[in-house]
Amino acid sequence: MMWKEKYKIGIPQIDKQHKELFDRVEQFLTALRKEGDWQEKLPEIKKTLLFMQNYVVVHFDAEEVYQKKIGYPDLQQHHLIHKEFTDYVMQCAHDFEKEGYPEQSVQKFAGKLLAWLINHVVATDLKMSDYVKKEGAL
Amino acid sequence: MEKQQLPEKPFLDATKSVFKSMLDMDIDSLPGDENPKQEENVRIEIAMVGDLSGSVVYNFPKSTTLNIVKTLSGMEADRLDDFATSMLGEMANIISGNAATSLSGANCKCDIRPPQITISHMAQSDSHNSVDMLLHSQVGELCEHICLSSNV
Ligand SMILES: [Fe+2]
Repeated sequence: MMWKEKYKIGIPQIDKQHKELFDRVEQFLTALRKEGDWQEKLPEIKKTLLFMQNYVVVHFDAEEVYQKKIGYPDLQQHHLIHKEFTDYVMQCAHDFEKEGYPEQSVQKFAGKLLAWLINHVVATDLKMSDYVKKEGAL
Repeated sequence: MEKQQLPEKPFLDATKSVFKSMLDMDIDSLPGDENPKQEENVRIEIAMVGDLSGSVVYNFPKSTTLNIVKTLSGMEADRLDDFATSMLGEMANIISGNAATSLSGANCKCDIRPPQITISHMAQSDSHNSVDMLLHSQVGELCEHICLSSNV
């Protein structure tokens, strides 16, 4: 499984969403990485990409609502990080659609996506959890 | 800026912390006279601009790359394809971004450019002015060449 217990930041509702996000990324990567003809794999790749992509938006929004609720001081900066990444994902999805899902580009996107998400959770989101622990804001 | 003053520390610290947080692994420096492994390498060059300019080159040998990909994705990986090289490119991007942030915090403002990724057979640095760091962790070796000069 792609999700690891050590990615937990200690805020139960956020951890639950992160696990859901990683599960959807895993479905996308499984479709993408399995042996076989690219064209035959494409319907599943498109489906899992969309399923994952939708949840990126849902999760980032929910996380920002939570940050507002707890009065997180880095909310604005965190929002910009989310926005930049969401824009990147949406732009890629748009380009894939227009260009017929070229394999190289989709593989590149997937590699970056996974590394970015892991780092975002274990570094950037962890700061939010440090704040919660310090302020007792949970 | 003289070679001895080159800012390898922010890069070493950033590499250590990214390996720790993303892979849960520690990193050691190997002695400078040790030769890097001769195998296919993912070479990632990240240009820097600002108070320091030049580039930082990361060389991840094939075995190290595949071990990182397996660890992060939980999936089998046996070739240096676009998925693998792009994942490593993003890791190098994160490390360099963190190093640039700590340099900027120390009043040395710099920005990074997007990673340029190639597959190479040479682990050695192309420059004589760079500081070379040979590092080792559970996933294998990696090399960083820091070639930056001061503009202030
Ligand atoms: Fe976040």
